[in-house]
Formats: sequence, structure tokens, C-alpha cells
Amino acid sequence: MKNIIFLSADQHHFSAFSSNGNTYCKTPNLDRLKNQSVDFELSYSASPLCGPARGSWFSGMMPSENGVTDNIYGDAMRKDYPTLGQWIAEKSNYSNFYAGKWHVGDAPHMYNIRGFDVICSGINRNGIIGDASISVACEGLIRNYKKKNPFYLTISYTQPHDICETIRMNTQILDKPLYGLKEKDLPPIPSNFNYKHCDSRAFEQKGLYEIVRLWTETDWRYYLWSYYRHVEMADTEIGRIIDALEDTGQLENTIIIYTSDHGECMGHRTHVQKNTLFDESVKVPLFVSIPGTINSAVKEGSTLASGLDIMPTICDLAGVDIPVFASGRSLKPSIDAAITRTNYDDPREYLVAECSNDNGRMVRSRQYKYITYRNDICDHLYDMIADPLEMKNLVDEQEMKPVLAKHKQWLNDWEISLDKDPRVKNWFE
Amino acid sequence: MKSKFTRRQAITRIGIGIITSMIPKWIYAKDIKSLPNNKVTYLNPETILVNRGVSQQMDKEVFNSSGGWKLPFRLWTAIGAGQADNNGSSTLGYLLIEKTIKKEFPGKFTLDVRQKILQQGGRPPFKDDFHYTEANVICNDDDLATPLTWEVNHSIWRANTKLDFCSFTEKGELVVNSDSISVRISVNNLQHPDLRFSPGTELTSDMTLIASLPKMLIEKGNKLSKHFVMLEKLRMRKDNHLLFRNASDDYVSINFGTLHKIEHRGDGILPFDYWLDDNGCPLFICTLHNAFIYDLKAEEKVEQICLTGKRRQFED
Repeated sequence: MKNIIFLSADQHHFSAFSSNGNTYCKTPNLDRLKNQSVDFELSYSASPLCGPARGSWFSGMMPSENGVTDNIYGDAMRKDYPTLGQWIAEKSNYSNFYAGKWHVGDAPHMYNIRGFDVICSGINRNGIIGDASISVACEGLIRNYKKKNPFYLTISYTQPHDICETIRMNTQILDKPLYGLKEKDLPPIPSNFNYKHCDSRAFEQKGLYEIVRLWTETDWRYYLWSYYRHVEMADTEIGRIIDALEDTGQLENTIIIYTSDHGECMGHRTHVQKNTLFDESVKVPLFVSIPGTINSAVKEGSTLASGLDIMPTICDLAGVDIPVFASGRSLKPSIDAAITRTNYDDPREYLVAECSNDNGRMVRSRQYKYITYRNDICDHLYDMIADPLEMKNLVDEQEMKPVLAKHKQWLNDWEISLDKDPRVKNWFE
Repeated sequence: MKSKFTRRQAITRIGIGIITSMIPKWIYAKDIKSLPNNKVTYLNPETILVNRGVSQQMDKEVFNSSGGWKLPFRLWTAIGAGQADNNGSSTLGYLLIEKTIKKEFPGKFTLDVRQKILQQGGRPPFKDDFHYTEANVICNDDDLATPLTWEVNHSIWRANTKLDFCSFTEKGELVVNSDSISVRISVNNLQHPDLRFSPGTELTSDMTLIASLPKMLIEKGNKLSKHFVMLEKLRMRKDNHLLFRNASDDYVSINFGTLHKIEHRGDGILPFDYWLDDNGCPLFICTLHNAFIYDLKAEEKVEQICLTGKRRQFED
């Protein structure tokens, strides 16, 4: 069996890669991985907030199932199911290691994580300092690993999440760029910056809005410029890991899965941070790199992938039974088909994401996205092919009623299928 | 010693300095609108003082920018200042840099670097979990303190035990050829592919750049503007870096004397502000919410944290 590395960034917008044609940020190391990957272009967080998204990775269950519906600090994840680490440890001969952010219903950085040998915890809300230590610990592990059995290593970086701290600190009203930067150096604000369809909870301003509502256009653009620097920091650390694998001849014997817990709003709808169900927040990068087997990037644009699929996929790649309690599914069939360039008829018609401490739901099919919140004034339906920036709500369009009904039905079916945490309110209440 | 540099707005800033030093603890940066030049985007000496990351009295040793010296920094972070959890503003580690000039290496100097970064494994006590780095670098005595040869030892510690399986040694050297510049690196005696640069590329590292600042400030003054490539931790390449003076931000602090500012930006970093005194001694190195603060007791304070597990939040 191959080694497996589950590599994650925190708050990485799906477009923030050089290889996506983004000229404002440089990601040579992520692009190296991407170029040997199956790249899932329709990949979504199970819930676009750190704790809930991560809970789904490591439990294989939705936040409303595992109990981690918000950034809860206090051992909140259900104990009656094993974590990914426990499952792998019990079912395989992989050596399990963990480095970096945890934050699954508990403290963001911990040394006692069920099922994992934690080699470095990192530093809360400080990827600038902590991520380098995480990389060094993992580099050391990779370079010194001499055992015959393969390793499974989770590397969980904090960057580019420190953008939240940049926002907090950026309380000055700028009339010109700082640090000798020119106008041309600063990325433009997004075209849907001012878009707001109604007073729906979907548009609710959260978190640091009290700071950003005072910003000038220069402030917004400077924030975007800063965001890309945070992304580049994560990229550099990932370079260390790839170098270590390459130098020791282990790269071609290692599968690397890369994703992010959620995106970054980047000024879309004047939002910053995350915790909304629009694509800038809930859509995430996800690629599976198999060097030696995949020698050029394979775009997989038809498979609907979820953070919920991380645990089943890792189990499948490790040759371990996929737990029956997992609500997601393995992406290995899609990966295999992409590698062999054969057609794969993805049986999944839709996926669901949760949001806002179990108060919001997104149903994403290949063409449409349906968003609904408890007790809201309106729902949302977007044609994601014709309107990828989600600026034309079709929910009241007569001809879209069947599409809307279908997505509502899917949501009902999905909710009924879940093994809800008894502590979480039923969605239908 | 009199400043050789611009001192605009010095008088008003002295007044502001008095006011800010009286502001009670944990006032969050967003509430501070009256600091020097209204610059609160990143930490500066006055906001660090307000947040009690440094005492009003800063003990210093004699510093000669062109000679040998020791620079002890305490790594401090303002994360959480003024927020509900308020659990992040604290000392995170130290960085000690010692420059030695040896007769047998004319035109060069040696840097001994030691850094300890405390990890934050969840709940207190945060005892003895850290990343320790020791480096020995021979640098060219040029503008950027270009590293020529080096050895870096990284070790990871958990519960006061060194994790040998996570620790490693790397060695590097700069090779200048007529058609290229190469950086040759080996890790645990395993060769890493050379990093190549076009002739004339100026190179430095985050570990050595600090050593270049004192001399650079004194010699270049307000004309300072350098483009270069940075090797982060003496290995990871980051291009398009620019170091320049922003002399209009120099000011006289009632607590720290005249402070001269050098700014630094580039790929893969958030901007750095280096604040140096009249002798060129860096007193504050700020980036976003983190600051390396000149502190003769930096190591002692961090070791105390490791011993007790008690994070140090305030310096006064």
C-alpha cells in the first residue's frame, strides 16, 4: 500500500491557484501537486466553517450527525463512532500521524486526538508562525520514516486563515496602497461585490462586518492582496513536504489528498471570511495527487464531491473497509475512471451542505444550487452554469418550479437518511 | 545619540506617546486611531506598548552595527487582544542571533541563530511542546548578509522529549558560477536538487536579513531600496522581495528613543516593519499580529514558560 497524506489548508478559495490562471497569487508547489492529480472541480465543504467542516472529514458524518455544528470548544463530537484515525488504526497496518489544526468540536490545536499520534500541534490563529513548525515536524517524519508499513499523515495548516487576523488588524481607512504597492498590484474587487437580492439570511453580514463596512475600495483591494500572500505562505510550507517526499524517493509511493475546510468570501456580496452557502465560501479545492500514476492534471468536472467523502475515500485508498456509518462515499471510482480516461457515470445526483449552526442548507446538483434557511423570508435557486456568481435568484420563476420541487425533495430525502445527533434539533422542526 | 534621519512630526508623536502609554490594557488595535501617522494596520512600537507586549523601560546592550553583536528577541503575538476569548496575546518563543567577526574570514561574518517556538496543544498548561532551531551561517559582509554556507538543525519536542523521528539537519552552500548562482542543499546528508538563479540575483534569508539591517540603515540611510530573493529558513524560495526605507514614518518615542523604519514586502509574506534605533539596533520587527521584540531576558522568560506551563501575557 502507498503512504497517504491528507493535506489541508484553512480558508483556501477554490480560485486562488496560479494554475487556475490567477495572476495575483503564486502557488508553484500546490500546482506541482495539481499537475499530478485528479482535480475535483465540483467540490463542496460539508459545512463552511472550520469546526463543522473538519468534523465531517474525520467522522464521515454531517455536522448535524456528529454534533459539531459550530465552532464548539469542549469535546463536542459524538463518542459512539470512531474517528478516521481510530478506524484506520483498527483496520489497517498504517502508522497514523497528525500535525496541525484540529478544532473538531474542541480546541483548535491539541495533542490528544483520538486515533492519531500528534507530532506537532501548531499555534491557534497564527499560521504565520505555527505552520512552519508543522511543516518541519512532517518533513522530519517523512525524511526519517524507515518502517516497512506505510504511514497515514494528516497535515492541517492554519493558513490562509490568518486573513481573519489581517481583517481584524486592518482598521485603517486607506486612501492609497501601503508598502509602496501600486494600484496595478492590487486585485480588483469582485463583480458581485454589491449584489444583494433581498434581506435573506443568506446575505446576513457576519463576523468582522463591523470593521469592513468602513473600508474604502483600496482597503478591499489591499485585503485581497493580503489574502493571496497568506495563500502563498501555505504553498511554501507544502513545498517542504513535497521536497521531503521527492528527496527520499517516496513521492511516487504516496497519495496526497488536498482540500480546504471552506473558502474565503473575498468581497463577494461584501462578505469576508466564510459561513455562507455561496460558492466563494462553500466551494473548496479538492484534488487527489498520485505521482507516478497521474502525470498531468486531470480535471474532473462532473463528479459532485463533498468534504463528507474524505473519510470514505481515504479508507478506500488505504484498502480499508468504508465504515457503514459514513454518510459520504468514496471518490476512488471517479479517480480510477479519470486516470484511465474512461467514462464514469456518477450516481450522485446532489449533495447537501449545512451552515450557520444547523440553520441553513444547500442542495447542489450538477446544474443548480438551492439554498434555504430556517425561518427565512425567501429561498434561493441559482443556475450555476449560466450564473456562476449566483446573482440571479430563480426561486420565483414559474418555469423553475419543478427544479425547485426536486431540490426540496432531495433535501427531505437527505435529512431523513441521516443518523442525527440527539443533541441537534431536527431539520423539519 | 542624535538621529541622522528624518524626524517629522516628532513633537506631536511625543504627546501621543504619553497618551497611549496611559491607555489601559488590552485595548484592541481598531480603537487606537491616534498613533503615529495613524498607522495601525500592523503592530508598531506604540501599539505593542499599549497591548503590554513590552515594558516602557527597555534594557539594551551597547550595539555596534559594523562589529559583532547579540540580538535577543522575544516573539510576541497580539492575537486575541481585546476579544472575548483573549487567549492568544502572549509570548510564543524567542529568537537569538549572534554575529561574530573572525579574522580568518575577512569580508565575512558568522551568525549563530537559536529559535524556540512554543506550540499550543489545546489547553493550558502549554508545557514543553516546541520547535527548536539552531543554525550556524557564514555570511558575506555585503548589503544583504548573503548566506554562503550554513547548517541548520531542526528538532521537535513534545512533553519535554525530543522527537528524533521528526528532527533533521540540513546543510547548504551558495555556489556562484559565471552563468548562474546555485544553492546546494542536503538534508540528513541527502542531496536536494540545486536551486538556481540567474547571475546577479541578490539572495538572503529571513535568518540572515536581520543581520544586514543595522549596517544597511547606517550606510544607506534614506536611499535604501533593495530587490532580492529570499530563502525562507535558508531553503524555501520566495521571489520578488523589496526592502526599502519609509523615512517619513521615523519618529521619536518617549519610551524607545528615535525609531527608524525599514519596510519589507515580497511573495509569500505579509509585509514586515523593522524599527531600528539610532545605532541601527532592531528593537521591533512587526508583521501582522506578531512582533519580535528586543528583550535581553527573552530566553529566560520563555524557559520560565516551559517550566511552569504558564503563558506570559504582559510585560509590565
